[in-house]
Amino acid sequence: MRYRRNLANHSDSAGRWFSVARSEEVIARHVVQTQILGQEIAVWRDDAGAVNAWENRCPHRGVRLSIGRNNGTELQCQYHGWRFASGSGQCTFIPAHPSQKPASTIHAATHAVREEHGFVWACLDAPAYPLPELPAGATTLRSIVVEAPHAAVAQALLHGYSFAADPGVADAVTLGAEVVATGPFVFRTAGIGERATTVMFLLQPHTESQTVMHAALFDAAPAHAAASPEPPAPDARAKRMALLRHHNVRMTALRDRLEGSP
Amino acid sequence: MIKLYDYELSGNCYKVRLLLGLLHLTYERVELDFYPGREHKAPWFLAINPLGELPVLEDGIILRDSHAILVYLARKYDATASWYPTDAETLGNITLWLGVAEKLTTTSGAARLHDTMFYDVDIDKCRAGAHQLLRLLDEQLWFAEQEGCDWLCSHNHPTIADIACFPYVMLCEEGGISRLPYPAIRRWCERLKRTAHFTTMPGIFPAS
Repeated sequence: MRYRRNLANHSDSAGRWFSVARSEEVIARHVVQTQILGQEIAVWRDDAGAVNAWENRCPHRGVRLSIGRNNGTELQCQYHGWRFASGSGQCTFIPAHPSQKPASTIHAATHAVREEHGFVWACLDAPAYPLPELPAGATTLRSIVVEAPHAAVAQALLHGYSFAADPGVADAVTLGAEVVATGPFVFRTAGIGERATTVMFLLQPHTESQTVMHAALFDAAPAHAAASPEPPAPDARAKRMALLRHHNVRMTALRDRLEGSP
Repeated sequence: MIKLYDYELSGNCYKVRLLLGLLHLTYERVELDFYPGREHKAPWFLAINPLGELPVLEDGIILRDSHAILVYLARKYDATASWYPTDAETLGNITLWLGVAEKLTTTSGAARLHDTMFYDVDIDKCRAGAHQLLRLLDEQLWFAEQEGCDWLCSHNHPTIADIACFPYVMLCEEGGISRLPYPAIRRWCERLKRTAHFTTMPGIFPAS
């Protein structure tokens, strides 16, 4: 069991929940292929909305389940068509033996999975920790993959993260925010701007040398009673896009520094 | 009838077969033994394409270069002009992404030739170059999705730019280039596979 050996080398990661995808990217009839410390995972949503995180390996011949078919209730292997039920991973049908009920011992290897705070979370072994605490009302940002070990990404984050609280505004100022670790894989910026906007980073170690920076932005609504007339509300969609692009640029710059790109 | 000088395992030939299928066109295939036979360098074929490259299309005219063929077929046979719209912005963007597709051929495509047909190329450089392009593509597609847009250059319909980029993205793992870090690309590939009259090739499965 390769992944258990990997996890044994990372006492920090045993029993931890890792964010493996933004919820909205785990779309219907799709299979997301991801990994935690080299252990490949197939993440898929059934038509009732429940999410699965399974070892990315058909128990029959070991083919990746992520090249298979999500039929809305089952994941079907591309190779011999074996089907596995959402939730339990129980094998439901073997095309070569259509009249026989598959033995109850045949099932895909399932992992603990949760969906909270705009992310899908998986835990490769018995969960020993709660999900990281995130404030309500997150805007999840584009996740950035970095060719660097998660420890190096953590180190870089702890040097600070600079961003503008209102990137959609013409005279927006980019400010440096301090970053603190709130867990071995979770980091939080100090608040900046009038509304004390913060960003939380959730690190998903893909492999020993590749890390995904997931991130969510928290921007408390201005808490003042408006006696004076408000300025016209900017187009919410344009504002959101400006925000997403701004953090994409900032996080990509962080990635490029880590990778030593010019 | 349209005649295509073709090689089953070529991503550039597949681009043309893909569009021919999507446009419901019937055509005749002249299959060459590209590997190991090197028939594309045989004198009879050099008389048709002096560059000794596949694909070549015959349709009253003789046209080489997969992207030139895509432009020709879309302009001539797509009465709705969906695959090759003519407004300035879309045309500019299509031309830009055809350029990216060309670079995918010389990076991802070359890495695949190295791994499957023993071509002598700088494999590390090819793979690094491919990853750089895949990052660009993933970012483009992610932000397009956020704008409610499923395709590279137009909102509600794929164009020849999507077709041109698709093969050497889908075949990159045959050149040792993992697509795992590119989830937006994965969703886009699946959308294209779900397009009506989508054609597969060896190594490219139908939609899940």
